[in-house]
Amino acid sequence: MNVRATVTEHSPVIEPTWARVEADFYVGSRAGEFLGYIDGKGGGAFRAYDTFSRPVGEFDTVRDAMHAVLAATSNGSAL
Amino acid sequence: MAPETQMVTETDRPTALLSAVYASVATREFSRDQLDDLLRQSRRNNGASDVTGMLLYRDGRFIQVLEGPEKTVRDLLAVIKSDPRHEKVRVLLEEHLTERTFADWTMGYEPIRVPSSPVAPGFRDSFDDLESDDDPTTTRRAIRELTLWFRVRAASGS
Ligand SMILES: Cc1cc2nc3c(=O)[nH]c(=O)nc-3n(C[C@H](O)[C@H](O)[C@H](O)COP(=O)(O)O)c2cc1C
Repeated sequence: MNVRATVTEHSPVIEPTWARVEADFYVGSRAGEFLGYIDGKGGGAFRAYDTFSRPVGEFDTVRDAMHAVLAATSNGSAL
Repeated sequence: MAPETQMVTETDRPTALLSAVYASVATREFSRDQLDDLLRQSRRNNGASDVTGMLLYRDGRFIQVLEGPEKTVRDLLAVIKSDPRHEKVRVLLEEHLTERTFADWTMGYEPIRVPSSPVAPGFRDSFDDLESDDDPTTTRRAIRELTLWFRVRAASGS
């Protein structure tokens, strides 16, 4: 049993990996695939970018920016 | 045996592109001036020998990507390894390339904003992952993250 994977009808859901490269810069990936990144602009603003490095919005928290990156991917824009 | 020549023709084998990544520890902390000197020296040499790459420096630690003709890169790596300005040189990854990742940079460098707090739970730290993890999957991921970051910073013209 792997507690980090949820079995669905089709395939296990693999948790994304988020890595900090420098202060306020995060890169997301899942199973070796690049998902997108977050670039903190200072003053509590975090810009989110999708897998093609296209901006998907600006957010007040890293968490919100992370959700935006994941949402942009699951919308199918990366598939 | 034919002696090695300076002129490399398309039929020569040593032109296979090699990428090598290593981590090392500065013997002494580098000042901005010392880093600039190192970059100037590296770019001059690399421009002449068809080597490209990226240099990262954080808290007295280096990570460098070198790419170019295989023999050139291996010879340069040997020179760099014996440079007294750093120690504990550890090659993390070597692979052949069909295309350069840093074609535009004789030695790309962007200053890293050193985080003031430890990384939050659940997050990786790319730099730490490269230095402390020998798993090739982790190494490749961390290099990809640092490469992406470098390209974003380089594109923003800082
Ligand atoms: C962290 C680090 C990275 C280096 N990177 C390069 C490089 O990319 N290219 C290079 O020619 N020398 C590099 N050097 C310097 C070499 O070790 C060596 O000093 C230099 O190639 C000698 O050049 P010179 O014969 O022109 O003086 C590096 C040294 C250090 C400590």
